[in-house]
Amino acid sequence: MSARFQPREKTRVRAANAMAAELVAQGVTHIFGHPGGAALPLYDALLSAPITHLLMRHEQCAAHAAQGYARATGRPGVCLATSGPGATNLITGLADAMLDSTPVVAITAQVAMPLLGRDGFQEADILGMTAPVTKHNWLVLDPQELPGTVREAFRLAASGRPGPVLVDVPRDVLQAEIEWEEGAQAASLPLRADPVGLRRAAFAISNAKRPILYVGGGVISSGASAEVRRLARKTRIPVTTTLMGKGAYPETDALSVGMLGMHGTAYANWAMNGSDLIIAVGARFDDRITGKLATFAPHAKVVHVDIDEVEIGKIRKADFPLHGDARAVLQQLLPLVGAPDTADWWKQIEAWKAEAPLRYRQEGDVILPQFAIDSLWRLTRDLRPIVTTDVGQHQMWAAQFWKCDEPGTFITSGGLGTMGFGLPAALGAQCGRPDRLVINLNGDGSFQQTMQTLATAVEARLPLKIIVLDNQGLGMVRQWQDLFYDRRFFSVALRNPDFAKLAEAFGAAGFTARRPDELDEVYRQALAVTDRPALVHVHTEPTENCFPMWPAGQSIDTMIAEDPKYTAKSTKKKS
Amino acid sequence: MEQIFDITVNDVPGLLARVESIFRRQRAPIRSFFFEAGEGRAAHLTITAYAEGDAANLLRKQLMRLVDVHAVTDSGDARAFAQPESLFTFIEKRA
Repeated sequence: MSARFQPREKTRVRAANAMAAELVAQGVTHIFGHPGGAALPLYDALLSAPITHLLMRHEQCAAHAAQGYARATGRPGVCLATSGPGATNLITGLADAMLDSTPVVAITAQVAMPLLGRDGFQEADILGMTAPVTKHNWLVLDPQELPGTVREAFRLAASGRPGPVLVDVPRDVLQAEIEWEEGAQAASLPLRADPVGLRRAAFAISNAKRPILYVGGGVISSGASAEVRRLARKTRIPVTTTLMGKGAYPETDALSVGMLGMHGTAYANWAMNGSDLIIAVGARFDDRITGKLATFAPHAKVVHVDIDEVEIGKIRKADFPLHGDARAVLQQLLPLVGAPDTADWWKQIEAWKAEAPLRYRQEGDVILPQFAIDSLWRLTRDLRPIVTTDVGQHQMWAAQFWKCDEPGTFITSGGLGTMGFGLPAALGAQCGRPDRLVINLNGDGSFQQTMQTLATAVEARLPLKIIVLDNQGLGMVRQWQDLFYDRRFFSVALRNPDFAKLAEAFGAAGFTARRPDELDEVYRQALAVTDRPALVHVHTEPTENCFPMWPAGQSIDTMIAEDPKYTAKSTKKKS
Repeated sequence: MEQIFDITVNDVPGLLARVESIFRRQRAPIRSFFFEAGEGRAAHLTITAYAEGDAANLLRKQLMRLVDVHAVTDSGDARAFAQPESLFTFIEKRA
C-alpha cells in the first residue's frame, strides 16, 4: 500500500485522497464505475489506491455489479458515477437494491458548490431523485465531513435491514484540503426479540398441526441459514423459500418444498395456503407470494421475524411479531421450541408432491429452456457455482430447476424485476468471489439490455459463463398475452443477433447449441474456458410457457399447476 | 380520520422531502404542517394528515426508518387532540 494511505496521525490531504483511503479502510476491493468531469479528483486519487476499478459501459451496470458483489460476498458493493446523467443512470440499480435489501454504497460526483442549483452543466438533484430509493443519502458540503460520511455510509448500508446509500460530493469538496485521520468503525449490535413474544411464538410453533417455515432473503442477509436448518430439523417443519431466499435452506433437503409464489411449486403454495401456522423469517408477504390477500392462508396464524418493523403486519397481520435480527431471534427461539406432531401434515404434503411435481418433457429436436437449465445444474452442481439470473421466464425456470443448497449462490432481481440485472451482477459476483464458478442465466431480451458489460468482463479477463436462452422474444410478456389477452401478441417478438458471434466480437468465447443432444458438450467447452468470458447461445422452444402460475392478484386456488398440454386437469382447489 | 404526528428530527437538507414522500406514498394527504427549529440540528415537526388506523401505524414505522428521525409521537385523532388522554403512542428508537 502506498504511504499516502497509511497516515499514523492527522494528516493534511486532499479530501478525494482521504475518501479513497477511507474506502480502503472499509475493505473495498473493487469499485464499479464510469468516470466523468466532476468525478476526476476522486479518480485521480483512486489511481494510487489498492482498489480495482471496473470500467463499466453504463452506470446502471455499475449499480447491478455492485449488487452482485454484495450478494456474493455479504459486504457492501461500491459503484461510482459522475454528476448529472452518470448519477441518474444509477437510479434503477439503487431502486433494485432497495427492494432486495442489498448493501450498496453509491458515490456520485456533483458539480462544484457555486454551480449547485444554477442548472450548471451535468447538474442533477441526485439527492432528491434518490431519496425514495436509498436508505439514506448525503450531499457533502463540508470537505472535513467527507471521511466521516463515508464511514457512516458503509455502516448504514450493512446494518439493520441492509440497503443502498448514496454519497454525493461536489467537485470542489473533493479538491479541498482537509485534516484527516483514520477513524474507527462503529459496530452495530444485532437486535434481539422481546422474550415474552418469543415464548408465545415458541408455544404456537410447538403446538401447530400444519406449520410451515416461510424463509426469505432476510435469512441470507442476517447469516441465519444455519439457525433455520436447526429449527427445521428440530421441529420437522416443511420449509419453503422465496425467490430471494433461495439458498437460505438446502433445496435438495427432504424438508424443503421448494420455492413458493406465482411460479413456485404447486405443493409449496398448497402447503402455505393449507397451513395453520406460518413462521415467516426475513420475508415480506410480497403480492407474488400471497396472490389475492383475502383468500391467502385463511386458517393460518403468523409468526413474523423481521429486522424491519415496517414489514411486520404491513401486508399480513402478525399474531406473533418478533422484531429483531433473524439470526439473533432464531438463536433465542431454538431452545424454547418443541417438535410439533407433523406426521399427518407430511402425508398430505407428500400427496401434493405426487399430484403436481415440477416437471417438463424434453421431446423432439427443439431444446426446452427447462431442460437447458436442468442440464447445466446437473453438470455443475458439484462445482458449487454462483448463479445469477436476469428477469423473465428463464428467471422463473431457474428458480424452479436450479436447486440451491448454499446462501449467496442464487443472485436475482426479486422485488423490482429489473431486466438487465443478470450479466453485470455476475461480473460483480465474480470479482467478489474469484474462487467460484459464476454462471449467468439470461434471456435474449434481458441480455440485450446490458450486454455491453461483456466488454468490461473481457477487459478484466473474468471467466464468467453466460447462458443466453433465446426464445426469440420477451417470453414472460408473451406468456401473459397468451393466457390473459386472447393470444393478441404485440411487441414481444425479437429478431436477435447471433449471440455467439457477438460474444466473439467483444473478445469472449462464443458457443451455440440448437439441439438437446448438443447441450452437454457445448456446456463442457464453455466451462473449459478460463481466461475470458464464455457465452453459450441456446436456441430454445419459443412458445413454452412457465407453470405453475396464477393470474396476478388472483387467489392461489386459481393456480394452473401444470402446463395444460401435459394434463387435462390443470386447475386444483386446495385450502 | 385526521391524525397528528409529532416528529423529532435532525434538521438536515432533504429531510422534509423524505418525510413528505412517506405520506404521499401511503396516500395520506397532509392537512397541516408545522416546523420548529431547536438547538443545534434538533428540530420538531407536527404534521396533521388523513390516515386510518393501520395506515397511521405504518406511517409511524416508516417515519422511524428514516435516519434523521429520532422519535414519533402519534397523537391520535386530531378531533380529540384537546383531550390529553388521547395521546397514546410514543416510540423512540432502540440503540
